[in-house]
Amino acid sequence: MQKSKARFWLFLLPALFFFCLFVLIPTLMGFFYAFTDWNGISDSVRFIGWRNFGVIFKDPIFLHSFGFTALFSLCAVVLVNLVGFLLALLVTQKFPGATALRGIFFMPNLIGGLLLGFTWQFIFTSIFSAIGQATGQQFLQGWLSSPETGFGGLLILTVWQLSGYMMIIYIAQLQQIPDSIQEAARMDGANSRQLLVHITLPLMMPAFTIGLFMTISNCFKMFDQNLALTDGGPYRSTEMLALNIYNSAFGENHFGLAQAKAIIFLIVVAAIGITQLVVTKKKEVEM
Amino acid sequence: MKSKKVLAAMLAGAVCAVSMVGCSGNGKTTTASVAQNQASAASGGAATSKNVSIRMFQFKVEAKDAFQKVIDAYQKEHPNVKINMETVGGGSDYNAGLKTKMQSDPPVIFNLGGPQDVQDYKSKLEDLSDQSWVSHLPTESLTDVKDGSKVLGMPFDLEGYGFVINRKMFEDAGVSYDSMLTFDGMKKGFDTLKQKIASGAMKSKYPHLEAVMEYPAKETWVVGDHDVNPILAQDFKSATDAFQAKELPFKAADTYKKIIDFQASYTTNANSKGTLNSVDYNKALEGGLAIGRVAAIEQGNWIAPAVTAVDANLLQDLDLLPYPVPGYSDGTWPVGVPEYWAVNKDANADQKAAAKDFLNFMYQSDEGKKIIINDAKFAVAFDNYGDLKPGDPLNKRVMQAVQDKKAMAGWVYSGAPTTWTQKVAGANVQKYLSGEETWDQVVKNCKDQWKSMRASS
Repeated sequence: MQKSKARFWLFLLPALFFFCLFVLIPTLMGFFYAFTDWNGISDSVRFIGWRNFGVIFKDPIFLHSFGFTALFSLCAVVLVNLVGFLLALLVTQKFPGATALRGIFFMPNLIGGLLLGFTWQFIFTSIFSAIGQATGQQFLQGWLSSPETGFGGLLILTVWQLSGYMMIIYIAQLQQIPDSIQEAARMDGANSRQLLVHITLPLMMPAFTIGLFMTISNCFKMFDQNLALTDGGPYRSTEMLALNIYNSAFGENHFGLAQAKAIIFLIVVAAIGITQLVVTKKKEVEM
Repeated sequence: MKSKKVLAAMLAGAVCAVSMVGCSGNGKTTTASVAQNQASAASGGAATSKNVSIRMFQFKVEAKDAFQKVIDAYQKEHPNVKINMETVGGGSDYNAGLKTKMQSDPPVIFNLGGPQDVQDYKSKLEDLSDQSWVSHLPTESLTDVKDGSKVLGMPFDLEGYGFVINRKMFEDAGVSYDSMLTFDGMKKGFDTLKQKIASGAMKSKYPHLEAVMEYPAKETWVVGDHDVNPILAQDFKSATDAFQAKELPFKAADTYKKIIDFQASYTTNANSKGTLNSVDYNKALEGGLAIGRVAAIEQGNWIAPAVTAVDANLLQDLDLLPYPVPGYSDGTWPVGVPEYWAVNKDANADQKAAAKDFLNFMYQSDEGKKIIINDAKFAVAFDNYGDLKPGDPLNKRVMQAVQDKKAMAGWVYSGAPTTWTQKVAGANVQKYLSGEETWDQVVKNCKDQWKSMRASS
């Protein structure tokens, strides 16, 4: 007993050490700075109580950013998972080239967010407008120059990037569903649609739990794609929360304020994530 | 079990969101090293023969190779000094980088923007007023980097802007450079070219030419910083003046609108101005002026290297028109010092001595001067460069403007509240272009935000 306890700590310590160093201590320090007026440079750090939090809720740009992020996340989560699931269904069918397609759909994930952002910026502003000019389609002109096209652009980029990853998760789960269950259902006269709704989907719930969780947190925390594609423009209308926090900290030199925003951000993302976990967990069925 | 794992992963991930502040300020110097600093200051601060290693953190990507050349030359003469240069480009990226660097691993030599930076970094800035180069500079080039009688930074270069035109295109359209030195003259010239483009008269010689101008409204440093500066210059004499102003008079605001409308009206998007909000610097420069798609853009002497990279012969065809502010000042160029070199006060005495000696070498030794003019392609404010003069028409025009006293303060905007020029003025101009806001709202927002940002900082 004594020995196993020592071993327990021995194995835990290295991870615990790094966890404290890089996660726990910075977080606690972050909580401290949220109550100060530190500008990120000077040595003077003044404690100002809850004032930062008061400022945040009166800041129209932060509130807009919050709304934008929420709306974006909602749309992106639905679309990414839908597309991911459909892709998974597609590539698990038996047809030539299905395995190659898996690789191709997954590939956007291997490209960094900044690079993706700049590439898509070029596609939206130059290629879209060239196609628009050639075909006379007015809606292809001036992408990323208005809040709506900025939103659309971010959405397209995100769906394109993340759905391949979700596809992999869904493929793994699809392959775990035993053929015997499907065959049994078919014997009982279920058609393809019924098979999907009553057999496949319920058995996919564990994968949806993970997939939804990952997309929700990824979309809320999106930073590099946002920075590279629109940088919040035009007129800060597509500035998502992470970018807004970054701008307060590094642009406006309000580190304390940015830290307070980050705490609110953490609480919101955590609350949404946990709620989703609890809800979808309940829907999971045992095989 | 699975949910626990997910929970742990989530906590780890979400925590990253709050851990943006990594390290606390530990820039306090110990008493011992302060004493040492004072001792060396008393001894004159000359370069020593001890081995010294210096880190230099600078922002001018375009001049990186030139600076390295100076460093190599300096190290050859002073084998005991090792200088490591790190370059991080672009205005805001540099500032973010410097801020984190200062907390973790402070450089000895770094760059400062305007009065706001001086204020923010005051406790880390070495007094340079005893340096010999100070006497070779006009006083106004140091106004914004002074604290009382202390000189806290060394001017980087002189940059000036206005309307960069393809002189040859205008001449082929029958418009001379000299006829466009005022707003009215410029309007006439631009109209003439616009007509000739529309009628197809320019087609045979310039097949790519599709509009007189491009206006990259996506870049808030163009619609904000640059376009608002000549307007602010009517209210304030220097960045320091602007920095001290609690409120913004904005008396030339109507001209701000005039010049924005002017630029937008000569682009291909003259009828859908909102679209300009997605036009960026590259499209205006490399994909615009440099390939002959447009004949003019609002820019400055710093575009010379980028133009050369696309078309080396084109640079000699370009010229720089003044930035007109009709009704206030016409025929002048905004010229100023965009950045300064600073030496870190908290570095040890040997490092500081070597850093000062190096900066002096860079801008004052014969070898350094040559590299600064010929390789870095800088225009400088120093009065002792003799026959060394910049070779391209844009830099020549900037130097000429200074000599003829036809320069207006070019970096007044750096005295505006932090981010006001881009996130307020620039963003509101974008709203105006897209039709989201009327001009009166733009003016009101600019004034209100100036006041509230001053009050909260």
